[in-house]
Amino acid sequence: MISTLSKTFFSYIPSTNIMAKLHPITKISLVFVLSIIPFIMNNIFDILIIFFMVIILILLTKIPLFSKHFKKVIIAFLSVNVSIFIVWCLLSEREGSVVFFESTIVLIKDKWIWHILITETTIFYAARISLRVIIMFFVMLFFFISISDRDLIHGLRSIKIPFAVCLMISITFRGLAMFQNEYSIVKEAMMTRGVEFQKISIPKKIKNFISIFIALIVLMFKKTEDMSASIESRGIPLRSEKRTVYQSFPFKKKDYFITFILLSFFAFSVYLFLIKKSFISLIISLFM
Amino acid sequence: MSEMEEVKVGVTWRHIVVTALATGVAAILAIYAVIAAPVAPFPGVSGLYLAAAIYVPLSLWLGMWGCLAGYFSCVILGFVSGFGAWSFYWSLADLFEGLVPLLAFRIMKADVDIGANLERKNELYIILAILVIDLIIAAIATAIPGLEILWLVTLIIAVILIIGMYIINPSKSWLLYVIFGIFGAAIVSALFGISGLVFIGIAPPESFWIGVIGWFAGDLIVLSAIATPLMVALTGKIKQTSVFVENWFS
Repeated sequence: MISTLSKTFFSYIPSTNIMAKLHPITKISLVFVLSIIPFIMNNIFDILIIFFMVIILILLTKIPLFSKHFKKVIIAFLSVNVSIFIVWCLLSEREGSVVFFESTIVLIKDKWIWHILITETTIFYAARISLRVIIMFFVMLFFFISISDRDLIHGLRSIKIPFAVCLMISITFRGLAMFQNEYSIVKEAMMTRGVEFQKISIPKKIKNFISIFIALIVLMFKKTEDMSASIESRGIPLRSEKRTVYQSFPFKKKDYFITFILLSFFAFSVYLFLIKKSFISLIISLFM
Repeated sequence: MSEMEEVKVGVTWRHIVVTALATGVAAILAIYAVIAAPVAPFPGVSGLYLAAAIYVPLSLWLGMWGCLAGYFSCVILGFVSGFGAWSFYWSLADLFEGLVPLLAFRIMKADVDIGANLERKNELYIILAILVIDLIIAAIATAIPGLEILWLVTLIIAVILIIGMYIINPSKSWLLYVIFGIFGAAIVSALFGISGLVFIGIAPPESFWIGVIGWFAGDLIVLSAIATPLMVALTGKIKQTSVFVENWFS
């Protein structure tokens, strides 16, 4: 039987690489800063720099990107990203000097006219947003692979986040894995009783979903009673400020260093955004 | 002691645990919905957002805890969809979706048990289905310039249908749920959610109305077809449990 502790929503891969040794808060800071900065930067070359930084991060974490499991995830993501790129090209009208494609489709006469205009500006905008989405995807992949839910909780506790909040986050991630399983069990139980899920009309499908949802909600309330009774019987108070933890996650010198670099880089990006300059142009002006 | 004293119960572990577990359930359904019925080019948007069918009733049963469950489930969905830190901003759409009906019920001091003394159930559901179709047409008419007359007609039909519902089943709770729990919740979350995606830059501003209609229609269908029967079937029973929240947090 699988232990409840091993059921986790995270795809954490235990490792001994340099990234694995970082404090969870440093990893969370990395995720926050690297997912916000691409949106502050407008120059595509600046965003490309961030992209390469994220690639280095992925390489350092040694994520098996080409394994069977991750291949599926990456293919699914890439198809979403391609659809974002195509829809940006088809729906956004951006004037430009080079017109690649122009067409007008009349959906409702004089009322709903769809004007497709693909210029070099459209391609630039679409490519920029695709790159930003790719960066965010890889940053989140890094997050889910480099941090286990236990590390996350211990990390949060180490910066004095209240115990109740940490326990809530922990139960949430356990709940995710648990209800993923319960959902399949309820559905399979219904199927063994002859309930059809595939070749049926939409109203019947909705009716079946209601049955699953009722079962899940009842299970949820039952588990709430059990879990809260278990917490209360251990005498854990809701507001306990001096609660100690077994695991200790000290913030080391390298964590301070990386967090400092990250925050400085973030502040510098905001500064560049405010003075409307790009990172690349600043470097070029320094060398010219 | 001659008279029974009313005991006020504050926030307990039950509320924390139920919020965490509700977040888990809603997040699973949210991820499933986004995979099953995506709305291009909006990552994380579903044309049939099943999670809303859970957290809107939960917000009425558990108060702010239910709203928080909706918010956190969307944060997790945002993380999975690759929104990173932006998830915390974008997920406010789901927080508002639960908050709109909760505010309406608390301000109007209405009973959340919409199924209590429900009269002519079948006729009510038929009118509700017509209302949902009418509102989807209204949303499309709003998005397309030149269809103002159609928009006005659908609006008049919607008002007539709501009045008809009240005549069939004169219940303040049912009326509030239809207006704020279905229509209000869906429109507020759709407008905020798609504005958020356009603001971040993931979706082009030109596609705003496509996104709003997709989100609004998806939520409207789920809230009327799944959340309403859940509210009718379970509210009475959940009110008897210790987890039920009468005010905002306890």
